[in-house]
Amino acid sequence: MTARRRALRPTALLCAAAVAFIATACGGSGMPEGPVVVELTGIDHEWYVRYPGVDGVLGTDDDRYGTRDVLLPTGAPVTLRLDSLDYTYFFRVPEVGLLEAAMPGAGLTLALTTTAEADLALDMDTMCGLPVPEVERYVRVLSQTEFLRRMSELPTTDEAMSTAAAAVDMLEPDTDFAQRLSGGAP
Amino acid sequence: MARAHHHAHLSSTRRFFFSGVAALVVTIVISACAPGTDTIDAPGESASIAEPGTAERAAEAGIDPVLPVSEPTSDAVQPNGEREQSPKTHKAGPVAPDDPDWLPGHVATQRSSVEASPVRADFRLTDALPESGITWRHRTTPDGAIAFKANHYDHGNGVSTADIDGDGLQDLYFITQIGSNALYRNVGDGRFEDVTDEGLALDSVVCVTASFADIDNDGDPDLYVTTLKEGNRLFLNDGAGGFTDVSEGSGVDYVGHSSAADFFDYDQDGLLDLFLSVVGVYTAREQGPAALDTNDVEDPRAYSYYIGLEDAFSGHMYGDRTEGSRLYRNTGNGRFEDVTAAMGFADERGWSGDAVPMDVNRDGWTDLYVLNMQGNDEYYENQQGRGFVSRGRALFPNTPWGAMAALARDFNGDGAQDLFVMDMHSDMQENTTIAYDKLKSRPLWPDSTLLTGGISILGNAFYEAEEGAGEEDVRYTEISDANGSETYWPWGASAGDLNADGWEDILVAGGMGFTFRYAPNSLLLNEAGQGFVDAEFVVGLEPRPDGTYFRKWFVLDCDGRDAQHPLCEGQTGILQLWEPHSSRGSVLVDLEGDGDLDVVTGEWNAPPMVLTSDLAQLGELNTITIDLEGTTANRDGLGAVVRVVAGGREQVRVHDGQSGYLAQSDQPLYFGLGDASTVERIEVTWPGGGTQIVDGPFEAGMRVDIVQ
Repeated sequence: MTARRRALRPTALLCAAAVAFIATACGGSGMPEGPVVVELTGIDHEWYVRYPGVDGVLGTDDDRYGTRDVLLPTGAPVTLRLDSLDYTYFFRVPEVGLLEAAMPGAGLTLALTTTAEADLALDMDTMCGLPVPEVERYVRVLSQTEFLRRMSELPTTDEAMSTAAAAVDMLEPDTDFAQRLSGGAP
Repeated sequence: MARAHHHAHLSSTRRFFFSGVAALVVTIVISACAPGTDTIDAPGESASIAEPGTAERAAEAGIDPVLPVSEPTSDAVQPNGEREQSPKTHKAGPVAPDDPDWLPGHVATQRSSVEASPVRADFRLTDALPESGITWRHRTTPDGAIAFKANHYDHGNGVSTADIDGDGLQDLYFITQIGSNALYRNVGDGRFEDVTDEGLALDSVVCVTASFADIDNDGDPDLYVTTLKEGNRLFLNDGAGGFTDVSEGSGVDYVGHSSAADFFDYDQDGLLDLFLSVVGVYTAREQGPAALDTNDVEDPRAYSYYIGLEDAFSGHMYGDRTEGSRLYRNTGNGRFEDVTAAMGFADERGWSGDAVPMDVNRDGWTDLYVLNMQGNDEYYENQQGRGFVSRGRALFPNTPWGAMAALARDFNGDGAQDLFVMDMHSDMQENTTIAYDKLKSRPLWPDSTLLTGGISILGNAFYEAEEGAGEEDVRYTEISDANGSETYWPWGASAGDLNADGWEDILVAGGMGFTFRYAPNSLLLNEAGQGFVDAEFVVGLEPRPDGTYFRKWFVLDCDGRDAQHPLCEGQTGILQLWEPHSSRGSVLVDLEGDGDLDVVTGEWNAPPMVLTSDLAQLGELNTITIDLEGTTANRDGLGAVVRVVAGGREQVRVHDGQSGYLAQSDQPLYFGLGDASTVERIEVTWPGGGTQIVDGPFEAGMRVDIVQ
């Protein structure tokens, strides 16, 4: 196992602890007015998902963070903001024909309305077809009550930050990737 | 299969979380939004939304529409079931569930199709590499191997042919990314000697393409080599096969992400001009070390290359990565001037690997069909040498999205040049079984990434030319599905009459290697202009001479310098990776001078295939070769239209020097005559006007030199 792989383990443990804490400490509230805005960021073949917290507004201390699956409430207009920090990824829900790309800096969005509870398989692949381990992902359309409960269980910004920082502390500095992303004229 | 970019993962993850905390809002630049609102319903209520038409197309082809899942790496898998007697651990990737179990059924089906076809397919291509004397091999950058990166480096290189010393035998020039290029002189009987000098070797330079053309009209083929950001090179031939680098001051020593170079005389001044296709920025400024032998764990990795961008295949979506293609006018004495803007190419947006000089509108002036490997192709109409005008979608409303190479030939014998375009990039969308090879790709990418407004063809295009009412009126109809010219993972195509029946056939080099399944090369035998039948497994183009489907790719020292490589996770000792064979281009050329066309391929990360044909040994062979010499026209006669009348039939060929992939060659025009043993008449329409009629009879087997 590489040093970087080892670094992921504490992250996972801290995340688990944070989730347990929030699940007992937080309660639910009503759905906000207007569309539910959810932000997906593709990073190394995984979705990192940011939700509005119980305050219903994306971009506050109350934001919640998840990975892999995307949770949505039923009966709500939803806006998915798609971004990527490395490759171009495709957000594809074949069962219902949803398809859009997430690419660095492009800020593409998908607007949709959920009408019924469902677990829909979510494909995530790249433009160049690099092989990656098969991972099951889902768009889970939940009742509004269940959606809010699940939101309350996810880590907040501070909690996500602390776990990320713990992981980062164990990493070697890596500026190479950013440099390469920036490209360069010949 | 494990990936090679976990460093990117953690670095980017950190950026994700930190950006959220610092501003509580991840900065999002909304430059485009998908309009409209979709509705998610419970499963089963919206099935019609998904990829319309796919199931129907598959059902028509008798195919189970459920796609296979590529298995991840499996240990100790080697081709042909062999096990290397070494302490290495072996991994082959990818091992698709249909690889190569599909072979027997596929071959049987193909053989039946050929037997049911009237086309001649009794000749055989036989491996002649061992006795050819060719020992060179292609080598790729780390991005195409150890770095496991999908980048334009994996487009590889081609191979070119010309008679460099005027001895009547076709010589070969191979180029590579890492290591030395090689010039092989044909010494007769299919044998070659390496005559590469230091200048042509370009040992420390990543090369891309090679083009032979007589740019100074002195009667010998000169050579232009494009490189990756190291300056393109122009070599003048001394007539005896000696080449002098005259790049400096030539005006064509462009530094950038060059691709193919096509010589043609756009202004009909008798000097060959140059269109340089340019891809776009797909590498970073930084350089990294590269191994000469990726399978040698002790290799010092002393070579260098520009590190490829991780997201290179998204490059067309970023304006700041644009590098437009260039047009250079030949001013004589080995000098060129850049007339890109003056001639109407100022808005050319690059992402082009090649172009086809072709009189699209049949007005007697050579136009340009410029390929785009990530977008719409463009047709530029020549305004009688005074400039070019983009005709947009006027004649080609739908073009392949990922066009890699093209050929203009009169494949159906009606006298008009058809256009065959190979689309490789559209096949990147999914790793399908061989049962899908004759189908277009499924539209799995949104238009936010294709950026072509939903009009792209996701596969090859075969534009059949039809003359309209007016003298210069021509229409093109796309018929690739109808005439059997769709292929899987194509790179470059070569046209030539391999069975000498009077109809040009097509060899399409194919396969990715790397992380995709084995994909055979395609040989499309021309059924007298009515369509094509696949025959690669019938005539010996496939399978590979040694019967294998995989080859050694690279090694990792998991106890040493590669310990941090993701593939070394949980691994000790030496790890040997294997990849499927794949080709990039080919030339069809008579290597032994026996009258039939042989095959030389440009392989990916491997030695070339040299396959000789036994057609000439099977009995009477009726062919004729024609060598042009322009006087007021360019000396090569590029752009000349040649009509050969034999057996009451007229064949029309435009001499364009196009051959294979990322290459331009210089060789006589080759005509199969079928049952006709004499040519009654040859008619040449020279660029710049003037038709020359040469009355026969000319006996089959002759080489006819026609001087303007």
